Amino acid sequence: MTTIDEIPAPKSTDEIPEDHPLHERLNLHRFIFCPGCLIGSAITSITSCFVERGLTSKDYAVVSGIGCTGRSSGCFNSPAFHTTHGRAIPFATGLKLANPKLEVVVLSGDGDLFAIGGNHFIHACRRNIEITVLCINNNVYGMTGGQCAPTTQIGDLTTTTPYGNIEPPFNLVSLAAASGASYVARWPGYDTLRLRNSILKAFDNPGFSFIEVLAPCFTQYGRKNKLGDAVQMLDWIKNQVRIIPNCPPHEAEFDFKKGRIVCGEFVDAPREGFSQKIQQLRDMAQKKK
Amino acid sequence: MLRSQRKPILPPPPADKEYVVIILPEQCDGCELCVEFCPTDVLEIDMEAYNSRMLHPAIAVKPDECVGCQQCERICPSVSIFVTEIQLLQEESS
Repeated sequence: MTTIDEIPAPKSTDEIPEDHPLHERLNLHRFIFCPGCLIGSAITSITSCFVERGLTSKDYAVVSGIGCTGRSSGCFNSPAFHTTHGRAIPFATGLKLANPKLEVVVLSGDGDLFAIGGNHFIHACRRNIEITVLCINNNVYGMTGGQCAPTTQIGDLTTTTPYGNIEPPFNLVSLAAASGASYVARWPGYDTLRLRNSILKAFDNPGFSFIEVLAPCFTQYGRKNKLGDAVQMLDWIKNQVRIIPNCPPHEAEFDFKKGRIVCGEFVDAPREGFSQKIQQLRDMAQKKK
Repeated sequence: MLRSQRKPILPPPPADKEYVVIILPEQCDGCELCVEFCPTDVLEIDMEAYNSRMLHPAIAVKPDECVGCQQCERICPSVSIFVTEIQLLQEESS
């Protein structure tokens, strides 16, 4: 057993070796997430997709809102923007319309995108703006202390619902599909291979792409509902995940009580994007002069 | 299928590449996700070592058994582990 005197003195942060293949794209000092939270692996998945597509740091931009996942914009060395609460999609829309060649990714949490920014989300789906939205869904407001979120299931214990939640939750996949998104998928956060292929498909899609990533919060949600630590909670969610190909979006169940979470690609119907339509309108108006 | 087109089922050829796991202990959070996801149990948490943030880093206890699936590299939330081929490392050093 090591005593306190034998522990070596903390080294300065300059001594962190930078050998990792992604060290040029990521700011390794800014990974401040809880040990075991899958937000970090979602960040590396996105970055390796950028590397695989051959995009340099001038070709893409990452926008994030407020919350645990909102902190992730600081982890990128590329252009990244930490916006106001719920307004990640409006900022990304402006970026995309100002520079249509840019690959814009919105990385935010369920509380940010669907509680305060729900209106922006459904209208971005309706307009079919060419951005990729990754929602890290942990069913709770993690950073502010574990309050009840619009994705918290019925009967779950949180800080603001000590006797169990009574509000029915959003089904994010059904909401995005009904609003008109042209690519909708849901993957568990530990299934990194399928998640990467899905992100690459979303980059190719000419339109609004929505990917929901399940990353359970063991610090707030798992502690209140007695689900154990990071590894035990991943086991718990792995027993409920059912990957069904070509499942219609209204059958995409997400229910912890039944023990059934349907994952897969639900909508893949590419249609014309918003910035293309604006360009056509601009050309038409200039011809009439 | 014709008898002439049949191919015998043979065991897979021996792997010609050797892989090595590299861990950056200063960056590691000790969350045990790589230990859980490794298919051949190469990794473990080193309970006697500390990094500068007073956390126990992971360590490769059976490095010869690495099959190079890169599952640990993809799942690691703190960007502290990666897998390369030994040949590539030797070329870089020489």
